[in-house]
Amino acid sequence: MRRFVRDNSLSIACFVAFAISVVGQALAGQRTFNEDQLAHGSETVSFWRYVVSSDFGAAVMENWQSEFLQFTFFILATVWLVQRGSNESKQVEKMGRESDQEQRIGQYAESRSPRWAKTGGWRTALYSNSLVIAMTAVFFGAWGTQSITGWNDFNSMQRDHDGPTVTWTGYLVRPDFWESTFQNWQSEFLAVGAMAVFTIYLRQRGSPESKPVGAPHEETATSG
Amino acid sequence: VADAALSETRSSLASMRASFAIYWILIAGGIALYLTVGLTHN
Repeated sequence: MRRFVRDNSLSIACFVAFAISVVGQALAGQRTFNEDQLAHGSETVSFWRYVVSSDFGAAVMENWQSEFLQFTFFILATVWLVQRGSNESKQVEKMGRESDQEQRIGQYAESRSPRWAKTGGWRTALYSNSLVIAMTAVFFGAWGTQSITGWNDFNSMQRDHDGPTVTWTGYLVRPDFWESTFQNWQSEFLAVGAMAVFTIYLRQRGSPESKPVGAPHEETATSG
Repeated sequence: VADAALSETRSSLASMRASFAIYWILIAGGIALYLTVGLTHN
């Protein structure tokens, strides 16, 4: 058990932080939602009813989609684009998809390489892009779900204010949907850009997200 | 000693698979839950 915790401490810590944050979001969200309900003379909802509401679902999904977009973008962008001096970039000479030998696939695979890295053909092609495929699928899944829960939420507010409701496709062209989308995207792109640039000159001793403390500023792609 | 090392390797592989699976279940479960919430107009 102790070994399990040590070997997976990063994913366990992220999971615990996620769980605490999502519960905090639900508690605060329920309170805000109920204050709004009372202001409109409507009934308040229980915690669990709020957790399975479109109001909470839209709030969760809009953050999820933007996080997965950020990683999808960064994983793909760093194949072809570089930032000299950054730990988050590969070396300038390695721009592009790299050779089979560098990627250890097909005839260059090792005995312990994943099976689909060895086989060649469509399996290796699919496995070679599996990370981006998975991240993209989660991004579109969460974004699509944000659009549906956000649409419900929007129509619910419209009914509270005796306004006209809209169809799902009608909601997709409304500024409400795009505001909640872009407000999340802008912060993600800024944060990853800052991470790429900050690691040129700044260090965190011991972190693989930083270059070693003594690494020269012009050194690219070395983890500390 | 070889058996102990093999056992440790198997245990590490199992824990890596468990972490991978838990995150997938969490993400797929979350999206499925709120897709259902949205589609049932809750």
